[in-house]
Amino acid sequence: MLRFQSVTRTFEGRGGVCDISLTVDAGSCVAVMGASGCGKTTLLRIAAGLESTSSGSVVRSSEARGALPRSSVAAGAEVAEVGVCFQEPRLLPWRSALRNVALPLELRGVPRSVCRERASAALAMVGLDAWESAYPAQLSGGMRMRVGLARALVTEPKVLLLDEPCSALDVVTRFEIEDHIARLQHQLSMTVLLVTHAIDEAAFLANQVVVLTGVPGRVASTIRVNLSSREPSVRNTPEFESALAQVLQGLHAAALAGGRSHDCQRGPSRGAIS
Amino acid sequence: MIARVSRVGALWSRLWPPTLLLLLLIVIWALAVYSFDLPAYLVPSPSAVLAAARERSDALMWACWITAQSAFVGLLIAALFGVAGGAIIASSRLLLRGAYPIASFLQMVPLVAIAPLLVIWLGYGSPPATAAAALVALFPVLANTIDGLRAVDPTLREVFALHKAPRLARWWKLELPSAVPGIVTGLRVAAGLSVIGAIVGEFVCGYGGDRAPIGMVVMTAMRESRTDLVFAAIALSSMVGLLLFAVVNLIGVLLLRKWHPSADTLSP
Repeated sequence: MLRFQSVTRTFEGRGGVCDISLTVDAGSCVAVMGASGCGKTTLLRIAAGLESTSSGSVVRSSEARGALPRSSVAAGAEVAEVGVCFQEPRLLPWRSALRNVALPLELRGVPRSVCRERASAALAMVGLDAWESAYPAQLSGGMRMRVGLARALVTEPKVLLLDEPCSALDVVTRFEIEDHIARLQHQLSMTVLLVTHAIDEAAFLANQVVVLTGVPGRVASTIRVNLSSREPSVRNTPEFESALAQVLQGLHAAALAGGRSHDCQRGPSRGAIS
Repeated sequence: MIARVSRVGALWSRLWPPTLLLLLLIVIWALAVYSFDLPAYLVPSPSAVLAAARERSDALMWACWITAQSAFVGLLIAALFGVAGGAIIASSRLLLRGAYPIASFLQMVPLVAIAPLLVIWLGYGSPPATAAAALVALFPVLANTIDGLRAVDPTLREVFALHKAPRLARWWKLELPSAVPGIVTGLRVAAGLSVIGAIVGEFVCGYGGDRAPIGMVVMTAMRESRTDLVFAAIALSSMVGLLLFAVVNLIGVLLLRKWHPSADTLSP
């Protein structure tokens, strides 16, 4: 489970987020959408621990929502392992695909043979078992992204954070990666936070789409999506069409409601940590 | 097999234009010497240079060998101290701010001015020549190591931060590999400089005699007005430089060919 509690983070002169409260239930996927600069990536970086909050807090737990008392933040409850996929694959160019995927384990002091074994398994999960010894320069953009995904998965995270993982890819490759993500989320029962600009990607992967607006960003609307399946073929069904329409509607509504910039500090102070 | 053939083809296609141009220049040189009747003590003809090289081939080979040794050992010392020193200096911002200007200043001190000092400290012969080679070759390695270590891709730094990599792991698995292309560039520059350094060192601190290094062969030939021999020695000294450069290039290609685009420009 991943929970933001009244999270605020402001920067001098650029994006940031204001008073975000948001829960991603264990095993579900929440997509965050919104115009550039509304703080989507900031939110994800806060969840990854790469950015601090100005106020509010984030709980990452491998347990389900109900099992967690509210005070657990202060008590330092069991923190879930987090996997992150950035916008770019961010691979080390001097390492083969296998050794790139093994990196997070190496940095945790896992023995070398175990590293290789688990990295190899992670590469197989994204269908790259034949490319273990290839270097990033020898791989296509989509393959590199899949190596990045395998690296995020190799630590067997309970929480997976995806920052526009497909924004630099062509549509066919994008579908391919989305299919991998959908399947693996189910297989490994991961909690996923997905930042994206693509409406169909949000509709396909997410149980819930959260739209941010303004600078710094606030939650403008929340749309529930409940596709009956996440098979690739669901993209051709009327059910998917209507999910798309719903998300689009939510985006429109949010654009009408928000968009003005507001001052986070002088706003209503309901964001205090309870 | 096909790849091998095309590689030889590529090598040939890169070699023939400079070879042709060189031959052309030698022909022009020979024609100029004959048609203007230039005196041999000013500009000897190509055939005279070749004859001088043949006549003194033993001495010249020895000279090459001794100078190459000085340059190579000097380059090795520069590589060792340059990389180690660069790593130490780059490790701390304060140290960097303190050491970089001093290193730049020392770089500006002309080698010829230091050479007498080397005689005082190390006497005559190969040791001061080696030291001179190391001194001029040090700075490019040092500077490029520092730059390479500091120019790590910040998005990759974040990957290491995400996994809370300890400092040593960050250095060994991220910063050092990132710096390798820079270090190779520094070594390429240093390879050429080390030969220059060795010969300048020999001018000041070399021994004459049977086992004289290139620098001394040039000096002696000059005093004897053997301009043809001076030419031969100069040509051989650049061969030594070329050889050293080729060795460094080969190491660079082996280190970088899998992942760095500069390896393509390094390889034949």
